[in-house]
This record gives sequence, C-alpha cells and structure tokens, in this order.
Amino acid sequence: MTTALISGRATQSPGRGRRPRRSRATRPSVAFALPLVAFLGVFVAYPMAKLVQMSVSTVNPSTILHTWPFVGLANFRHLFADPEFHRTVWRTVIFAVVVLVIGVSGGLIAALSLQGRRKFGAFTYALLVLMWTLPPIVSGSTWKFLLSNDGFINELLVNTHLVSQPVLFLIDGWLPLLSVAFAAGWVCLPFATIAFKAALLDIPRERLEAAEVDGAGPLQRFAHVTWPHLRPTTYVVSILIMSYAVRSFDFAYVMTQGGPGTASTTLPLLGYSSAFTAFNYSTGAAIAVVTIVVVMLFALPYARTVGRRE
Amino acid sequence: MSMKTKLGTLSVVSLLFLGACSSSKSSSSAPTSAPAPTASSASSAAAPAPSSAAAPVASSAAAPAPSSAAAAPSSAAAAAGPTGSDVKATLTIWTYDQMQRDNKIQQAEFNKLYPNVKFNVVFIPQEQFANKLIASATTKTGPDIIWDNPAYTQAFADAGVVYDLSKYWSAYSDAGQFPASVVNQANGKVYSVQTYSNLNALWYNKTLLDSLGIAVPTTLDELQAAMAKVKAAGKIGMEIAGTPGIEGEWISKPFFTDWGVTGYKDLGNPNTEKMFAQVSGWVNSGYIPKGDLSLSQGDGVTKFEGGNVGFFVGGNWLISDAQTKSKFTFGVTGMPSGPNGPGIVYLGGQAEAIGGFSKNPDLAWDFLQTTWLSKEFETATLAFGSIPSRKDAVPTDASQPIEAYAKAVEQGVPISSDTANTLLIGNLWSAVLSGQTSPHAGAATAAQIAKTAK
Repeated sequence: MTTALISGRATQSPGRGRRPRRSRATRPSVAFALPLVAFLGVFVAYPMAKLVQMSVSTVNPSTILHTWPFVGLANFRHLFADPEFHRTVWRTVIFAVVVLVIGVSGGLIAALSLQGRRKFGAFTYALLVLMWTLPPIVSGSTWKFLLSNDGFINELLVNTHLVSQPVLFLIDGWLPLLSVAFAAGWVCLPFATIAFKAALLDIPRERLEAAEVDGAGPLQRFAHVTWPHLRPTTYVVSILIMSYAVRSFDFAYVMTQGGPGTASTTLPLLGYSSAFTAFNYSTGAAIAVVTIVVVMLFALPYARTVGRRE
Repeated sequence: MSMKTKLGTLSVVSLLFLGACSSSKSSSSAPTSAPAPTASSASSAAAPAPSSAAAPVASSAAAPAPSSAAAAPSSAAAAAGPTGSDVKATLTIWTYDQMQRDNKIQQAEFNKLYPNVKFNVVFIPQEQFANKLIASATTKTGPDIIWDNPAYTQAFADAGVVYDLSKYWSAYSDAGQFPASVVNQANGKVYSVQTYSNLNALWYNKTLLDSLGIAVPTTLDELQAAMAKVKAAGKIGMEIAGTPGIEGEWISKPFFTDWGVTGYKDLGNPNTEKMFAQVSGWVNSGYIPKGDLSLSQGDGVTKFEGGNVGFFVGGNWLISDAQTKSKFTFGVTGMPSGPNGPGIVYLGGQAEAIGGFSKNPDLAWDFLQTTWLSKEFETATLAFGSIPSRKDAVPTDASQPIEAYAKAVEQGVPISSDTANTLLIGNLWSAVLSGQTSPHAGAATAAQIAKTAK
C-alpha cells in the first residue's frame, strides 16, 4: 500500500514477460548495509586477516611490536607434526560429539516431554532460561564441585551402593574429557529444548489428530509426523551445537584446566595456553586458524540453509 | 612500526583472547586459575590486608627517612628539593593483586615526600595482565610501575615493556640486602626486583605426627615412611596439587632437584623417571589421594585444615588462614632432601618493575626504593604472610613458620622464564601423578623438553 501511494504504479499490472519494476523506495539500499559491513570489516575481517598473518609469521614477545618475520606454513607444519596436537584434535572431536549427542537428544527429549504440560512446562522453561543465562564460570564450578571425588554425585553413588569407591570423574582416563563434555552439553540443553519446542508448536495439530484417527500409535506419530517436521530444526541445532562445542573453552578451563596433564585439553584451550601462557603467539594463532576452519565447516552449511529458507 | 601494524597487533591479540574465551567470562574469576607462586594468591587466600594497624610502617614514627631521594640518581628528586613539593606527576601502577589495588599505605608515605604526586592504580586480572601489558605497548603508553609475576621478566624485557633498572640498581646502597635470586635479570640487565617471596615448604600436622610417634621428615625416604604410618592409622598421608600448567611446575620443582634434576636442560637425566616413579608410587600406594590431585594448592589447604592429613606442600601465603581455621598444631619445615640434592623451591612473589614507556622512571624508582624496597615496608609484608626479600627485614626471633620459609629463601631459585617449557613440565607433572602418563613415558617426554630448554 505504501508503495502504491509513493509510486502511483502499483495498480498497474505488469505485462506478461516483463519483470515487475521495483520502486526506489522498496529497492534494498546498499547504504543501509554499509555500517554493518564497516563494523564487520573492522572488528571481524581485519583481525581475522591479522590472525592469519600471525599464523604464518614468527610472533613472540620479542617480535610482536615489530615486523613479524614471515615463515610461510612453518607454524602449521610444526603443529601438524606435533603428536600432542593430533591428540588434541581427537579430543576435540570426541568432546564435540558428546556435546552434540547430549545437547540434541536431551533437548529433543525435554521438548517432547514438556509438550502440552502448561504449568509444569512454563516452570521448566523458566528454569531452562535461567540455566542458559548462568555464566559458564558458575555452572563450570558447580559441576566441578558436583563431580569431585567427595562431591554430591559420588556421595550419591557410594551411598546407594552403585559403586564401592568414588568415581574419579576429573582424574581417571577419559572421564575428565567426558565430564567436561557432559557439562558443556548440559548447558546446550535450554537452547536445544526451546528450539525444538518452537518447531513442535509449528506442527499442524490436525495432522497429528488425523494420524491418531488412522490408528497410529505414539511412536508411529513421532516417526511419520513429528520427526519429518523436526528434521530441519535438528539440522540447524546440530550445526550450531557443533560450532559451539568446537570453540568451547570455558568449561575445560574452569573444571580441569585441561588436565590432568592434557587429558581434557581441546583446541581452543591449547591455543589459549600456547598464546597466553607460553607467549608463543604464532602457534596460538595457527591453532586458532585451524579451529576457525573447522567451525566454518559447520557454519557454511548453516548459512546456506538459512539463506535458502529466506 | 606503522600504525596499521600496531592496530593489527592489538586487534589480533584481542581476537585470540576473545576467541579463546568464547562465551566465557573473564577467567580472572576462575577459582583454580591463579598460579600459586604469586602474591595474588595471598589475597585469594584471605590473607589480612596490610592495614595501618597491621603494618608497623604505617605510623609516622616508622616512616622511612627521605634518604632515598638522595640515594637515587633521580633528576626529579634532585630538582624537587627536600620536600619534593615541586614535583607534580601521576604515577600509574598496574597490579593484578586486589590487595594492592586498595592499599594506600605506600602512597601515603610517598606523599610525605612528594605531596603533589598522585597515583592511579589499575587492577588487571592476572590471566590478562601480561598480554595487556604487551598489547598496551603498541601505543607506547604503558604504566609507570608494574607488579607482576617474576616469571614474565624475560618476556617483558623482550617486548620492551619494562625499563632497564641497571643504573638504579648499581647505585642503590641497599642492593646488597637482596639475594641475587630476587633480582630479576634478562639479557644481562636488571628489570625487576621482588620485594618479598612466596614459596613452598612442607607443612606437617604436629598433633597427628606426635600421636603416631613420627619425627618431622627431612628426607624423601623419611617422608615416605611417615606417610605410610599416617595412612596405616587411617589418615591421609599428604595433600599435594597435581594441577597442570604453571602451578604443577611450581609444585614439582623441589622433587626434581631432590633427584639432581636442577634445570630444564637436565630433564633427560635418568633420575627424572625415578622421581616420577617415586611420587606416582605415593599416589598408587594411597599416601596421596588420587581424587584430590585436581585440587589447586589453595583448595588442597582446606583438606589439610580438616586435621586428617599428615603433610601438605604449601605456600607461606596460606599460613595465616590455616592458623585461623585449624584446630590442631601444625608446623612448617623445608622441603625434604632427596638422594641427589636438596629440595629447592622457586621464589615466587610479585616483581616490581618500571614500565618501559614511563614518562617518570626516576620518580617511579624513588617510589619503589622509598617504600617497597625499604626495610620497614619489607618487614611489614610479614603481616600478610609473605617473606621479605631483604636479609635485614626478617626478625631474628621470627616465629616457626616464618623462620622455616626464610631459611628456604636462602637456597630458593628464581622462577623459570622459559614459559613454554614451564607449561609442558607442569602438564607432565599432572599427567604422571594422575596416572594419565607412566613414569617411563613421562621421562621420555621430559627428555624431549630438555632438547628445547633455554
């Protein structure tokens, strides 16, 4: 309507084969995008370019304020030749998969079980939002306390005679990595639950009722009506959780500092300690570049999906 | 260096940091993040602040004489006259110690000499401190006075963000009072001085040992035998931090020197494996609770305070808090000696330096020598559990814990500035103690580290 008033041409039907002409007012103005482009250029693209430059240079406290000597891909070669880096990549993969499984399956189960429970559901969603807003330092410290050898979970396990000795969640074998991944997955639950809840609300009620009338049981209704509707959401949620998991730093830092040894060190933590504890900025940058590439692998399909939808 | 490059350096350091932290908050609040060897731990351990009541130097009677102005080669002081009232300046101090952020005692004392000098104290969380300092130098606008971990002296000197104190130090009449181990040098120049030391020693539960008829151990073998007896009595042998990174390396130092591994270059020594085997053996035998290895030193002390633990490898900054909370008598002794040498500890604490881009380096030096380096102020550090660096600042009738730590200071060594390998050795210590890595594999990794050691 606004268009008609401004241009006075909206009432004219475009001729067959002629592309409708957009008025100046409706044409997306490049000018509107300029501030955002400038912002992203200054705060994302430029630092990213410098990060890449740092990863192909020798940067340490002696050189950081001067010209960075270019070393080509030497930092990456050293990195890929380092067995600890390989172990860290595998730990990151395991960590990301555990976070993904807990986040997606937990979120889906939570959303399904809260469906249709108004009062209880509202209360639980409020709790989930609270959980989502908790600073990682708080939730990480809480999990550290809960999982310690004399913490609540071990007290529970021992007192219920499920185990005879406390489980050393933060010490033994793979448990530190899995414990940190569990905590990081737990914190993804609210996001996944709310996303799945929104998707569930989108399912036409009549389809579910029709399936029920046709004699479909709960599992069949889920498999043939609910799940097809949830699939795109699951895809997007999975990509976002994987991206989060690959760059996740906080829980490992708070709960185990990446230890014992490096048992729960993932790529971001390795990059952090290389750059900010060992002052080897170029190695830290190389690790960050590798991490960014991995995150991009997940971000690109997401961007494509969102773009297609729009 | 062009402005573009400077901006790039700033932005990329920020990106690295923010990227690493992702959605997290400042790591400063992480309870386990602060490495023990520094004075920030003192504040986190609830050590009493050097209030005017606690610090004898706060009274005007104990105020240091303004002789420092004459001792320093300070043009500012020389021009200032006897009162220094002509000097108008603001000294910016960067510290990661919350206690120092609020401490005005030294400033008040200095203002008696220089009434028109103002102070701008900037608190920066420890984890961010070194990188902020290095990044700030891109604009050549750093602080006048720096309080930071002495381990970073080399990195700061390399980055040019600390001032060469050599000329001041060589002219300083009291320089001889400071052991060489607290005068931090890099590239042959003096860059910082520790006014007090934080270091480890062996704490023992005297009440428990007396009840079991155990003498205070002086060697590793005696310690092992004592822990076995304590464990046999149903108690915990020893609490020791098995955390990775800087703290792990800080704790491990005396155990390495016990076996004759005195520096990173010696890590290929076959005794490294023997050391690892002995200490991990204590974990496997149950003398050290494996589940507590994830606790930092600051958390481990709470276990010791419970009264069921025989020994604890603890720092002096934890003493006053432990004395308040423990309902038993405990003592402190030096780290036991081993088959190949004494248990030598690192001398942590805060290193005082002058910013590389300070516009008032003379005035900053005046401040340091008039206050923090003076005997009166050094003695006052005892009040909050630190061990003065000055030889003449430790009272001859010092109480038992202080005396034990003061003795350890004499043979202490500076923290390594080889930060990359410090990290690796700390991780290795943690991995071996927790059983993630065998002593044999740990020794092999240590030998690899030795090849790149500085």
